[in-house]
Amino acid sequence: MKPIISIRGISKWYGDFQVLDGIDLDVRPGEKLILCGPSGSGKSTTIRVINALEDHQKGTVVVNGVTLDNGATSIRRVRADVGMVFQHFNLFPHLSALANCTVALRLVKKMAAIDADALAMHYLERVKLGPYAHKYPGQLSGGQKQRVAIARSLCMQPKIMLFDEPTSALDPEMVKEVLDTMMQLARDGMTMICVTHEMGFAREAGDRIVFMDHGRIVESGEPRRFFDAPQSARAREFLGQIVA
Amino acid sequence: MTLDTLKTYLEPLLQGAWWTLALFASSALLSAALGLAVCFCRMSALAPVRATAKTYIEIIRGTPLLVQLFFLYYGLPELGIVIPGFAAGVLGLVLNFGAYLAELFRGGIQSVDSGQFEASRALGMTRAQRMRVIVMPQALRTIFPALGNYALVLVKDTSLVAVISVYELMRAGQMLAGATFRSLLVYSLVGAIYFAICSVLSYLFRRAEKRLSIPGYWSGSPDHNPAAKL
Repeated sequence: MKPIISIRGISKWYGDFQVLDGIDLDVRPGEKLILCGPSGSGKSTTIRVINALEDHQKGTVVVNGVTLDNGATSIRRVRADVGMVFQHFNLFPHLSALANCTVALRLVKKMAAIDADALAMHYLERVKLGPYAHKYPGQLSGGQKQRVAIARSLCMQPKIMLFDEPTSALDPEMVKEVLDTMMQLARDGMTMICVTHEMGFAREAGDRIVFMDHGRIVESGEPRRFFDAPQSARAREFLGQIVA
Repeated sequence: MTLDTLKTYLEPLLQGAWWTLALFASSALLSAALGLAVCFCRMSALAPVRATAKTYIEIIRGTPLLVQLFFLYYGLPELGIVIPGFAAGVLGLVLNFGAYLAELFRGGIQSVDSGQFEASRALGMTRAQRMRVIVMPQALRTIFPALGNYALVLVKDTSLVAVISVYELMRAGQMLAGATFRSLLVYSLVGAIYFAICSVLSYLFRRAEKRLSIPGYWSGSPDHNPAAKL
């Protein structure tokens, strides 16, 4: 099957410091990819390159047939296909949960208010937050906020969802509700790339684990093989640290 | 003193007060527009644009408003540029407050969390949409109390244009005091009228701040007082 995301040899520098060093990665439609690795390994930067939140200096990124060339048109087309969920939710605090979901529908997709509201309610109910539609982010718990953020992304009907450590800022008792929402999304066939330290989720939902270190992909493979028999010394050391 | 004499004193002053309100309203609107424009120039990606905005802000903030008004009204005619009194007054106030507001707006915009910019970019919003719908509404709530301060300062600073012979409340007071020799009474009344205008304005700002407040939002509510918990 033709990959929906194709990354070839991307490199990125912040000044003299190289954060990405020749990343090659293909993602099939419907694939659930887990990116893991120690902090500073470049996993967040990698997914932020996919929707052009970060630029890159070398290599090519093709998303759903569109090559990112730093031009406004390609960036706009790619962002229309790619949803993103952030570690710190980044909900708009001055807008209700419903308005958080509809604001881009109305501005970017030029949807009529009544249709946007209906679509947003559909997704808010899907993340089990229908009764909270008129609450403001400041009135919601962390887990609820993250589920609104997921609904907000889904409203744009993306083909690919990026998750950047979606549970890292949550209290432990709220992790499950967010992971359950993500599991449901995975079962529905969404193409997902998740940067996460939730190894239970990675094992259960992931089709493939990609392990990164120092801006490179060190190894990748099926979750079972990765967890039970990691090939590289670096991955063994990493897994030893997070399990312990 | 009878009510009748009070009325004869108040009438010319209230006439002047209308001009004070006109000066305030036009200067407030124009300086907000100028401040916003300068603020975006100040944050421009182009270095010369940034430098120009910065120089303007520094010159205005580094010199007294009174000097700026004299420059416009008495100085410029020597170069053949003659600006009528009221226009010179408005221009001086707008140039002056525009610089302060530009910095206030910049502070407000830069206080908005970078995650807000990222989320709106990821959702595909354009730069203009991002600014208008996501960033400015949050920035405005943050700077609102300070904005109210500037509005009150502007009301009172309109009195300075009396020195370039613009007719407004202060000028009306000077003329009345000169004609009647009752300075104590006249300037008490002038002060009372400024105080009344400021009180109304201050009340309007408090009400607007309340209306802008959002449940659970960290700012924008005048009753929100985290320091009380310390």
